[in-house]
Amino acid sequence: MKRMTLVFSVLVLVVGMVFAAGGQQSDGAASDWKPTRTIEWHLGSDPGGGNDIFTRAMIEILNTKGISDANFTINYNKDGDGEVVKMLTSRATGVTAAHTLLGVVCGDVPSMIRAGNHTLDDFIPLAITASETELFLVSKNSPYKSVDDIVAAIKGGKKMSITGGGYDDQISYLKLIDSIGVTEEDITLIRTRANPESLTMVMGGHVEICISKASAALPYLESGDMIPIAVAASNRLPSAPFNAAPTLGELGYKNIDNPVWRAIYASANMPKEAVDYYVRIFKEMTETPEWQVFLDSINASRIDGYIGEEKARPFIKDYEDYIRSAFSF
Amino acid sequence: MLDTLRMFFHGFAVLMTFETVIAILIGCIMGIILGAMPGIGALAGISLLLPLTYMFSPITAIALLGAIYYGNMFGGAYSAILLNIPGDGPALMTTLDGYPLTIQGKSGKALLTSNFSSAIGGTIGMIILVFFAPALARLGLKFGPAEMTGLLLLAMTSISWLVGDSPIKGLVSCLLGILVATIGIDVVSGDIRYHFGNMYLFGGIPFVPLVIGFVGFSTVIAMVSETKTHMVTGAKISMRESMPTKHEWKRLLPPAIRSGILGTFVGIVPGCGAQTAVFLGYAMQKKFFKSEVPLGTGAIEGIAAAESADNAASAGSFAPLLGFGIPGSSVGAVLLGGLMMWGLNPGPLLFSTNPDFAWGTIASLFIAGIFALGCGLLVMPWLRKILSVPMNILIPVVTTVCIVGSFSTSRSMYGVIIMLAAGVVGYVFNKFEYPTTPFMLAFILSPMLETSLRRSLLISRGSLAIFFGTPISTVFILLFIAILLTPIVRSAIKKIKQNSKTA
Repeated sequence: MKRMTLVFSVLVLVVGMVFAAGGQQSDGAASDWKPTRTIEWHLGSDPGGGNDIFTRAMIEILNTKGISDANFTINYNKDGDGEVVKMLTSRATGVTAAHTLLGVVCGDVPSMIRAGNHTLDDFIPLAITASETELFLVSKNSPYKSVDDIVAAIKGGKKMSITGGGYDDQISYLKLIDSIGVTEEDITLIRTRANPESLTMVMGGHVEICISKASAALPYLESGDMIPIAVAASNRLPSAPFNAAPTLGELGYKNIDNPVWRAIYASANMPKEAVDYYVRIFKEMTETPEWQVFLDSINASRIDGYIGEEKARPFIKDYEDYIRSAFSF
Repeated sequence: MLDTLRMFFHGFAVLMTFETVIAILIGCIMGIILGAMPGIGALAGISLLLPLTYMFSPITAIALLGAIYYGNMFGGAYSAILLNIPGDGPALMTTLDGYPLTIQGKSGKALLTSNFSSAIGGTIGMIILVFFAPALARLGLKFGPAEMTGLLLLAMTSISWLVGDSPIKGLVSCLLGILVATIGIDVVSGDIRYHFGNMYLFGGIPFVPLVIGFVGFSTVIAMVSETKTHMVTGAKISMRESMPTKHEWKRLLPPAIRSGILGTFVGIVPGCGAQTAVFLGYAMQKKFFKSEVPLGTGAIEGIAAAESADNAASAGSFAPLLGFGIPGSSVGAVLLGGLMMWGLNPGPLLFSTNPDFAWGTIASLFIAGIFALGCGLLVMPWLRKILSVPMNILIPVVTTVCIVGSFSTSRSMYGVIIMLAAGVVGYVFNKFEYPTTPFMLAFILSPMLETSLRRSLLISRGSLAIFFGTPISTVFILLFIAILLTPIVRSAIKKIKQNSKTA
């Protein structure tokens, strides 16, 4: 009985301490606003992924360029497939709301709509900071070296597969089959968790086509292991080796556009003064040469004109409308 | 071959700076400490240290992170052996024999067997990696959904060898594991299964809190609720007594070498993970080779097979990471992120465009293996103190470790709740003598099997012919069928023989 009491006491003590550490403060926001404590930046993904690399680069520039002297801490939490960090952000109030940010990639939007726990109204989109372009690729050993080869083979009765990581890749897929006039039965989507898994399947010859962000495909394009057959944009990418990928419009099909954008959300409860602060620092950050150097290093692009809620919200709203029309959920 | 050796030694030359050697040593120590803390592990350690590595050269940075990764595998076995708390999937198999040895007062033997086997497995993996890295990476690419299905079916059969005395109870345990694993997002369709409106369940049940609760916390419940306790305290670990004897070396070397080779090849398959290698290594030892005492009762052959496969698989997973930029594990994904942050493009050209870095990385893993073994031996006297702690202190400490470990994995109370619930379920399993290993193995393997199987059938439009489309998948499927049919055929032959005798 003594042991039972002891363990129960420890349980209560430790659980209580952990709850207390993870709990939120509920005091109100300061009027003359500047960060007064560490800013918690939630990510619904693992360290090392695209979201993480972008967030770390932003924090680095904010701090080293003296744009913000605030402390930032990244909270990686994949609970609920990323839904929990959305909840933590949206429900934050007062000082906590003023010190809480959420990193969002466009592929999170379909997940959010599907899960139905949150809507855009629960958040303030502070800024859309960058976008990446997707490519359609085949293996160098593939008998199909172009979109035309693929369409011709399908017309000849061949069934093919395409592989991609998240919802952003799935959107490129839906736009591709719509553009080239084939069905989901003609080209079946094999969903994977991430780009590397997709690239493995295509390089190993298990699947014919791969959708990948340009940056993730770079080493394989440079080595010649993969061939880009089209870009999911209405213009070719400017630099080699990506500029070898033609637009679908150039090939005689309908052009498609699927920029994979990244944004920063805050709680709808974030005080106005804090919103202004973040909009200002993110605007300054995206205008630094360092940000451009970073984007160039990973072959991403700067998105101008979507800093601030009044500009970012309509863009994301349109995107949501498209998702609702493209998917059945 | 000579060119490979030259480049390999060049890798050592690149590493031999004071800064890098110290970084490897610090990495090993940190890795062992992090690994010994259930739920923290290499992933958290490497993620936390990633920003700090900006201040080092990429080679020093990857050497530090690689050493943490390596040291972590050594440390991961300590809590499994001493406290029956596996901090991750691979350590689960180490508990099966490591903890019984602790109960027998032979924790020193278990720890040293684990240390030496880890070193043997890691060295085998690294030697294979040095000479065949590009070829291994290409071989890894051959494993598509059909080949993965075959391999995982083979791995699943190993569960049947671990069900214990009651096959029915083992089957129930296995099926429950599969059922729990289906909770959450279905990768293939994107559907959310069995979430009951709870958003935490969207992401499924996290593995580490589950295993900490199921194996570790259930032991705590048993200790406080039953007069007969399992935990042994006060057993001293002297180095001399703990060192394997000549006879014990003979016992541990063959399984360690076999598992080292097997683990390396399983490790190169992207997405397969060290746990699959460990299960296969352990199962291979149980099914095909003799052990002096039965596996699961404190056999050093079991620890050797599991620990060697773990380290070898981790070494093998560097082949696709360095060769193609394809991470074989979540730790590999963080390392990949690090490579990109340091301005390197891991991929097919890494060995030609950055040979210093690629070979330096491999050489650093060799050094990390030696340092980790040395550090592992040095911490033995301190480990002794864990078992010298009185029960009334040790129980709250273990409880705290369980809570903190499960919290740090998911960084939320969700992990703690899962751990507590799993502890109760694990206790009930033990109370009614349902084996827990099939549950855990099914929980880990079945989602991978389901995903691979469904992807295969999507690619083939439902045709089973895809499983006989390549030599690799054909061999795996035939082996699987052979394993399934063996007991039936044996029993049929036995009956025929009996009938012919009676006739």
